[in-house]
Amino acid sequence: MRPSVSEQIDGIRHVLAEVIVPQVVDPYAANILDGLLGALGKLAAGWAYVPQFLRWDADGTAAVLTAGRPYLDEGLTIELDEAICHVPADDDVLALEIHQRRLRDLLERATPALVEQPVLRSLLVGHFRDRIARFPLSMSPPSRNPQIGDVSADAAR
Amino acid sequence: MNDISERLRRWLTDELDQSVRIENLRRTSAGYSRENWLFDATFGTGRLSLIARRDPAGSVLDTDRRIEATVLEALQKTDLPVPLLRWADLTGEKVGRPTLVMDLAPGLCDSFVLNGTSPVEERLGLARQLYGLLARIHLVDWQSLGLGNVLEDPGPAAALRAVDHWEFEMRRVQLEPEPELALVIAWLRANAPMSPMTVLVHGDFKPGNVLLEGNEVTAVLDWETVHLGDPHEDLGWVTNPLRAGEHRIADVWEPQQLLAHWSECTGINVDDRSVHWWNVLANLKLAVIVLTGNHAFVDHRLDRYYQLPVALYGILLDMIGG
Repeated sequence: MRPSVSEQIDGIRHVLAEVIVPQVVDPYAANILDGLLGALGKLAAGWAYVPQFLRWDADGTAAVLTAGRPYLDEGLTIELDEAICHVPADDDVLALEIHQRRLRDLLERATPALVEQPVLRSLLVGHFRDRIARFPLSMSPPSRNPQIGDVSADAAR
Repeated sequence: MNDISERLRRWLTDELDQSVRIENLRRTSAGYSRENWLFDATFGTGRLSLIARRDPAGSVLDTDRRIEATVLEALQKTDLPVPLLRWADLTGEKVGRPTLVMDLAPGLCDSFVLNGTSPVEERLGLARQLYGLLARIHLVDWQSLGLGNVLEDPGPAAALRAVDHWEFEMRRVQLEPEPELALVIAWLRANAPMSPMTVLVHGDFKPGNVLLEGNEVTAVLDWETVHLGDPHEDLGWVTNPLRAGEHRIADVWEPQQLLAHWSECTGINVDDRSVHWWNVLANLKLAVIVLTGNHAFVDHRLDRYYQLPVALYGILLDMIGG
């Protein structure tokens, strides 16, 4: 698909920077535009990693919750069992996003119970640290994402 | 811009009871939580340089102009350098949203003045002045000023009250679950210190919130987060490792020197464990501020977009020994 998503974002960013920015004289508008150009740059570099991040995060979150299952209340365990029974396909990004959010919600609610157990606390914190390192839209480029051929080359452009 | 210009003109004409012209109106990009409009009001032979701080449609921080106005008025009775509040539109009936109009105090704002190019001795002198000023804020006799009528005294449980407040704010604005912050909140609750006394807390004290003429502070700005609480709250804010570039001078003005100076000025002992706890709270607050901004951004109420504060989560995990 050409222009690819990254090429389209990069092209829009280029036009904004070259055509629009020089015409913006209002300091407030110029400052806002500068921030938006930065955000577009990060989006261009990170968007391609989002689906695999969602999959990794959902799986990792489910693993922590499953390990902590004996310490969760009945309502949470029922919700957890339901969530891990309905795992969407990798190519359905919107469903993957909903699935990941559902598991993160369970983890948020389970956290006060999990941190009481040293082993689970360690598992939880380990997952959080991995997640920070892999997060695809952070201020710095993702450090632990596998390179995925065309997509990474495309995103790096 | 024409709209706010005309609204300001009508409002000030009413207040001054004579025809007013609004000139040189411009919005500054400084200040992320309020719209800041600078302008000159001319009337008869008079001319005032003013700033209108208007609530935006969306913000990184939702605060109450009524409290800010009351505190500013009360502080006029002290020797603290605070902007002169001229008029307050607390309901938004004058300019669309709640707005405070203040004199534009002289001086310049430089967030990183302590790490500027002037000689280190000069910057050290300024640092002593700045954090001595913070001590003076904490020594304000808020009860005599009547501020106990508008600000709630959280008493010894100020720390837990602060966690309640920021957790409530997080729940109000979060777009998605935040388990990392749930972990931080659990740690804060388990380790909350008792407040040794109740003082007036500025809430966002930093070089970027003062105006300087040369090396003299002409005004302390941004009182929108002012409240009553534990003095360690402001100390935790100004010694937050994440904000070292604003508050520290390498080797000569580190947290140790800052806290010793504050203690000398106030006569109050510093509890290092409390300061650390409030460092953590400061970063929870920063995370919630980013979430508040992103909530307003997706609702089309804020022009700025921030990346999710995941890097901040890493810092918080380090701070709570995660």
